[in-house]
Amino acid sequence: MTHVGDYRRLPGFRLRRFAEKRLDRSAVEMLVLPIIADLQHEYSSLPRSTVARLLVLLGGYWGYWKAIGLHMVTGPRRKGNLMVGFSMRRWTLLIFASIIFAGTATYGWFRPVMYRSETRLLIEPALVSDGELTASEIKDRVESQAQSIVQLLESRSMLERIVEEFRLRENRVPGMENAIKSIRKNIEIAKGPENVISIAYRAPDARAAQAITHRMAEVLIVSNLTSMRMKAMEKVRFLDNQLKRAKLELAESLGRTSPVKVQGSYHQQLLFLEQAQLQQHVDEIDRMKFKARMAADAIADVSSGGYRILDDASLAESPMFPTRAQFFGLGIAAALVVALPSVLVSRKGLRGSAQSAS
Amino acid sequence: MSPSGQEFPRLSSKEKVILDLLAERGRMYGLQLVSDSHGKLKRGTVYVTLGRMEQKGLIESEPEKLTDDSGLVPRRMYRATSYGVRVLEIWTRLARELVWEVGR
Repeated sequence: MTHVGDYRRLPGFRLRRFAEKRLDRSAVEMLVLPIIADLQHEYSSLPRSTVARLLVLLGGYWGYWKAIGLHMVTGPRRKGNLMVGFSMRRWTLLIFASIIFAGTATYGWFRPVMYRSETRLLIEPALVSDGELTASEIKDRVESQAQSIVQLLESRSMLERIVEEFRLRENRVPGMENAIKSIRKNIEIAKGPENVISIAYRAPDARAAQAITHRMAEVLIVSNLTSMRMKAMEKVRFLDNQLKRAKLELAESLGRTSPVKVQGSYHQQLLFLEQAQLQQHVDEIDRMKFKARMAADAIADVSSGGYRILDDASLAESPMFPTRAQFFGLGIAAALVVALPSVLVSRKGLRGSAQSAS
Repeated sequence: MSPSGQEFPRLSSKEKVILDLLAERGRMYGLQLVSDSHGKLKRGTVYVTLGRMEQKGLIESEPEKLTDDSGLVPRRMYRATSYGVRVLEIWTRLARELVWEVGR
């Protein structure tokens, strides 16, 4: 047990003094003193210099502050208690507010100012109707085209081309991987209404942002054109082969039919059959011709590019939000929000609240 | 009706645990209630709950009379009032009936 006159060395002495200054008498008697009393008895029942004593102290202090916090929020004279709470934390809050402001201002100062450029593309649907297209042709519908745009713009080959062309690796970010990561971070692709896709790029330089955005749109259109030309050429090649085969088969059929005609009417049945086959070939050729016309339409579609630029890449006149000044403003606002309660609770106000609490 | 003339008081789970312990064992101090509740009561909340219960008239308290002059702050000993015991009995009976009704 602790000896007489040793009470200052007992835990809870300062906690009690603090509570007596800040809280009303009934709260001290009914809440604070029981906590301190239990803490002291538990503490003094343990042998000196043990870990158990340290644990008891930690538990006791935790219980004390939790109870004080609960009392402030749920106890009587709630407003006064809250004022006392703020006063307890006044300097902490002010320091915290200063740190917030300093941190925000420093970040805002060193953060590069960014400019944003945007271009809008219209995806033009294929001119041929779906019923006349094969499965691979149907793929070129607007939705899948939008997906293809995203994939193409974020593809490594595309980004490498941009990095090399604008010398982003040498100037700003070392290493191709980092340069690609940086570009990917700054690209924005959004699908708008009416088959419109917007492509935006953010860069520390307004002209660079505009040039890169413009180049991305250009590359996109050229790639799309190349892809569609290749598809159309494949189709034409296929149709050429089909036509050649059909013509050959037709010629063979005609060659077989002629001797039958000469031999007379007893081969009538066979003749009908041959004629029916012949008719099938003719129909087939008709269908091929129709498909060839459709292919021509598709090639005409290719000439329009599939994508059309609605708005060319814009040159940003002002940097993106937040600018340095706006960052400073944000920092001040955030710091004020944190510091306001402690600023409002003036010394006079505190005295008043303490008196009303007691 | 409660001593203050208001409607019948409600008992929270923590308040019920405290009343149960005090009704069963008589006088107890805060930390004793925490340790005997087997984790149902916490050190940070028990004193606030005890203060609230005392205001409701469910329990009463007085400082412990210390026989030695150790300088320790006397512990506050709590015990259930007769009103508190009655409230506990009614609550226990109601809970039992409710369980029976639900289980039927």
